[in-house]
Amino acid sequence: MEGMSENGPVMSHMNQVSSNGIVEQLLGLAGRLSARLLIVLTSAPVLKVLAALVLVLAVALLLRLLVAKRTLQS
Amino acid sequence: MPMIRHLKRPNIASVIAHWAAAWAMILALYFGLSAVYGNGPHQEIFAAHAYAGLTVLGLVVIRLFLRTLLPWPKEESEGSLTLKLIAEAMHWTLYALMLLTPLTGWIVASSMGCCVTVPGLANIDRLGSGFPIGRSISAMTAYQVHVFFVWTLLALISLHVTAALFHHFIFRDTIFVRMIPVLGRRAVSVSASCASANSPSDQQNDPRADDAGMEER
Repeated sequence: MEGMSENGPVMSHMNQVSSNGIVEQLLGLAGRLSARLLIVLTSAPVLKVLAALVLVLAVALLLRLLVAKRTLQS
Repeated sequence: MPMIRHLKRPNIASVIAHWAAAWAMILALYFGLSAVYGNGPHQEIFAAHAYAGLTVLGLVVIRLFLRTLLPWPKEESEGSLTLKLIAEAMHWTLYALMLLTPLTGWIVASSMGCCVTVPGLANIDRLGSGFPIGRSISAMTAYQVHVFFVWTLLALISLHVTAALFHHFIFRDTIFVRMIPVLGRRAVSVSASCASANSPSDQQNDPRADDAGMEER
């Protein structure tokens, strides 16, 4: 019992260190992941495909507006 | 038991694209896991994985095109506003992941010319080469993000399926039924009913709005 009470502060410190370690690891993982996501989202292939998609969707929107206008006129 | 009174379903092309994308994603996942962990011929399995992924990419572009072009039925769920916002956010995240996951896979496949080739697959780096935007990206970064996207997509698909079943069995609304043409035909045939569920501007835009809102037989 005496030994355990002596080890109490040490155990508490170890727990604190390990929990800090987990938090740091999680933060590090989230940071690395965010950085990679940013790199991918700003890469040339992704930006070009997204630009093409925006053009396609703009054409769809234009078609929808044209059809609506024609329907209202007739 | 509350019955389905009105069935306002999306256009049939969107429904077909939805289920085709679901099957293509299952195939892509199966071939992807087989290519990484399986013992079979990696070249063929990897090519099958790439084609399934490209099919998903094509189908999500078609779905987004149709969703922009045609009116979409309004949600009829009895859930709270928070649930509706979560559902909306989840749908758009799913669209984004269905777009970005094959795209990151295509980047990886384009840089693996040394080891594994996919016949007929264009090198993504050469697409739009006269359009200088963005930076180049390493295959390893693209691969790590691809894997992260895949697991996130799987988690969201699980939530999506759970939510659909929850709507069907707990809320007893038409969210699930309207995406299954067979069940929809059995319940009620409302081919032009989506217009009634749209905003007033959409109703003005759609000439079939008068036919909407048929009741269950």
